[in-house]
Amino acid sequence: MSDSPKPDSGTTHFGFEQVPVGEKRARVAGVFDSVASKYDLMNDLMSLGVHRLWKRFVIDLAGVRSGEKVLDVAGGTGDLSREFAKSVGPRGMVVLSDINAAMLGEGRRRLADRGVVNLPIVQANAECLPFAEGSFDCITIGFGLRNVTDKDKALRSMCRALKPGGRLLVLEFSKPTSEGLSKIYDQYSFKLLPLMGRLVANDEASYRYLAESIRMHPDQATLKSMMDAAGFGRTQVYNLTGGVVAVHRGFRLE
Amino acid sequence: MSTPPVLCAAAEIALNRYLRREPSVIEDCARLSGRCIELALPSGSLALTLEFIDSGVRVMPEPPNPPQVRVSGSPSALMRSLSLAAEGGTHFPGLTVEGDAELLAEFRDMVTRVGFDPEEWLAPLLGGVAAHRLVGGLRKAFDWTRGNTRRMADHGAEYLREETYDLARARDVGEWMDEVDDTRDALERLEARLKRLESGAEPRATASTRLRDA
Ligand SMILES: C[S@@+](CC[C@H](N)C(=O)[O-])C[C@H]1O[C@@H](n2cnc3c(N)ncnc32)[C@H](O)[C@@H]1O
Repeated sequence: MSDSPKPDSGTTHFGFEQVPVGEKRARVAGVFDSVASKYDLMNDLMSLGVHRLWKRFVIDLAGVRSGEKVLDVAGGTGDLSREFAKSVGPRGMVVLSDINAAMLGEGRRRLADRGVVNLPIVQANAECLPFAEGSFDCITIGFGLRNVTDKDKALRSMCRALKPGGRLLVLEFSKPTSEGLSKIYDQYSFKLLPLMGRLVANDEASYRYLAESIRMHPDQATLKSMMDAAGFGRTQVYNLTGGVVAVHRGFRLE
Repeated sequence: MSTPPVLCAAAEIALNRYLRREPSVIEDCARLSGRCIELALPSGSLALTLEFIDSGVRVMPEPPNPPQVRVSGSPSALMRSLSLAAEGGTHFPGLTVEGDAELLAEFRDMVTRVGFDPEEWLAPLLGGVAAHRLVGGLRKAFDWTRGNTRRMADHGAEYLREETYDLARARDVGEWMDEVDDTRDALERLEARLKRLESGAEPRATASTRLRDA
């Protein structure tokens, strides 16, 4: 199955709304421009702090080694990049990239605050990454894929930027595996999340979009088959927190 | 039963940390790249597959291709055959080995070269610190059944939690839902309060109004 925008209708989803394909990017940009400065605080609130653990799992599973080249796509404020920078050491390289300048600005500031300064920062759309084929040993995209208009294209673009044998790790909200959790989670994301957005960031609409975009994102099995179709192999799904979040890891095999 | 993916992840992370201590071992992994060893507990109660890759191993619930060698035996026999005291060669007492025993012997040599401690590796799967202390006893006495397999998955989760991983366990999910409920209640109270404030109906406002009126 594919999650590409429908070519016949020329529309795609923005949260629960249908918008013209050409418009989604600007609308997503609006959301992240608006949340950039409060982003980390909201992350903690949204996930009750658990996003740190999810990211820890991704970092360990990525198993980045000294000397490796890592690309953090949709890296936003740079949480993952910071950890990878420690692992690759002086011989390796981590590139922080995102489509949004405001998020990258916030990322640069945060990394500098923690003493990480020599890390290339590239403004780029995940759908058409501006890197030579086979540039990276490892690529991650954390809570980014659901915002991308053409996810299949982004997966192909990331596969291409990997060296043969390289791995992609996708960390994304997914589908809770139990119905009980699903119900609670719905309440949480459709009622609590926008409310928190209003109270903390004074921006209910952006957080409503986040909740809706989570629902529209492909479930575990669909994303796995999309990765396989994009050229990945040995694709494995790791459910965390009852499937509220899933990590997909796939390898560029040839 | 195949091993839950998150447990495979834990096994892979731990094993690679060991293997990467020794560059010559990583070279061996690269040389064996693509070859697979399937490890299974007796009667198929739990199985996982190791695949050699350039940077170490990948651990998966299912073999991607027919494995070059399939090994099954009790955890104690598996531990014994991988431990430092194990004999060399392709003789693996207590284990059923189908396929390329040389590959298994190579793996054993690699893990012994990096000082890999199978007890330490398996301990989390067997129940963390408690099992660590019990390992001597376990070696002799542990009788593996399907029930134990469930216990193992549960304790694996415990270990992963200690490693700060968050895992889906019934209890966790319950706790998480309680937290969500509490936070939601708190926010709903706050929202109600804000509404009352906005509409001037908050008790304090009412009191002052009354004073003013008096
Ligand atoms: C929820 S944030 C995640 C940030 C960070 N990875 C983290 O986990 O904290 C999503 C990010 O995706 C970025 N994004 C949205 N669409 C994108 C696209 N097409 N290409 C690259 N990044 C994109 C947004 O600008 C935003 O910074």
